[in-house]
Amino acid sequence: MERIDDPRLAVYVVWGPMLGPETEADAREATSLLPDPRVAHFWTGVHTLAERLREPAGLADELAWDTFLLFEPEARWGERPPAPSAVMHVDKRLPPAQRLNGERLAEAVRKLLGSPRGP
Amino acid sequence: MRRARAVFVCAASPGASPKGTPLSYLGRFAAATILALGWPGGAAAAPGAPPVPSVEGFWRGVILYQPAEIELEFSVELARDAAGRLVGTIDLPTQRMEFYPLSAVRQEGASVFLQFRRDSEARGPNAPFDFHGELDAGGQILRGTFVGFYHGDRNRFPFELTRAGAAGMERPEPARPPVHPLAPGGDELAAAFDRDAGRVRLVMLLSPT
Repeated sequence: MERIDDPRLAVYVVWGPMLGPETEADAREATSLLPDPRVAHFWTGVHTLAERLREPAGLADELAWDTFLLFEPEARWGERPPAPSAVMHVDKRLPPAQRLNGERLAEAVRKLLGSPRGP
Repeated sequence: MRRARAVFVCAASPGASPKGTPLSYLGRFAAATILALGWPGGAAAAPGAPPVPSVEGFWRGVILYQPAEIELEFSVELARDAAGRLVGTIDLPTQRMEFYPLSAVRQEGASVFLQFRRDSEARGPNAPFDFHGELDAGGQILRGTFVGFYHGDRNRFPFELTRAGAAGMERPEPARPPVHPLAPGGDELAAAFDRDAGRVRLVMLLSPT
């Protein structure tokens, strides 16, 4: 986040029971890892959202936990999640080129922001 | 209480450790840009050689598990006890380790050895986790190899620490932003998403442990 000092970026972190036993208290603790004011933290105790985002993430039969979906400024959610402009993942059955890489993700964000390359 | 403040660029789920990783969390971090401060003391040097800076102080850095993919942010605080022995603690926020005691701290010239012990899924109880490092000439950077996640050749990862201040310095309590409970379908997320139309938006689904 500190590498992209631009208020036109909004980040939503959905904490949830990806591994099973996680709780909302765990999520409250984990927020300290992402204290940036542009980040909104949510907690869900079920997998419904991870199922809803499966298709936009391009996943066939895996839940969308540990995925990172990037959306352009024009995207609207409305009744169903829009198609992301980029997806990254950790250990999913998706192309290796989409594996989470902080530098590539930052570059994709900058591209959508139309801002010059950062440090 | 003094606390360490984690500095993230973005994070994989704390619980999303690569398969077989004995530590429960591996995340994606960025090294903080740190102002280097002065420090007292010095380590033994060969006769005629310039004095080697002491490793005492507060340090922040990363273990480069997979550079740009999985980088573990951590910090160490090193000081001397009443008997003059080097002692210290390590903070590894992704492992919920704060002020965790180091079991060994040694400095011989520019060579520094740090160790903590912890139960390891792969290596059994009270397994050693070692940092073998070298101080740069100015005493501001400590870089080397971290050993401990696995057995064998793939068990070595580069690390780099940057001096961030003196031992015992105040460390602010970390900010903990509020968490908003979601309805099962994520309606609140959808509303926030549409409210922020016009901005680039990044949605991340993560485990908090």
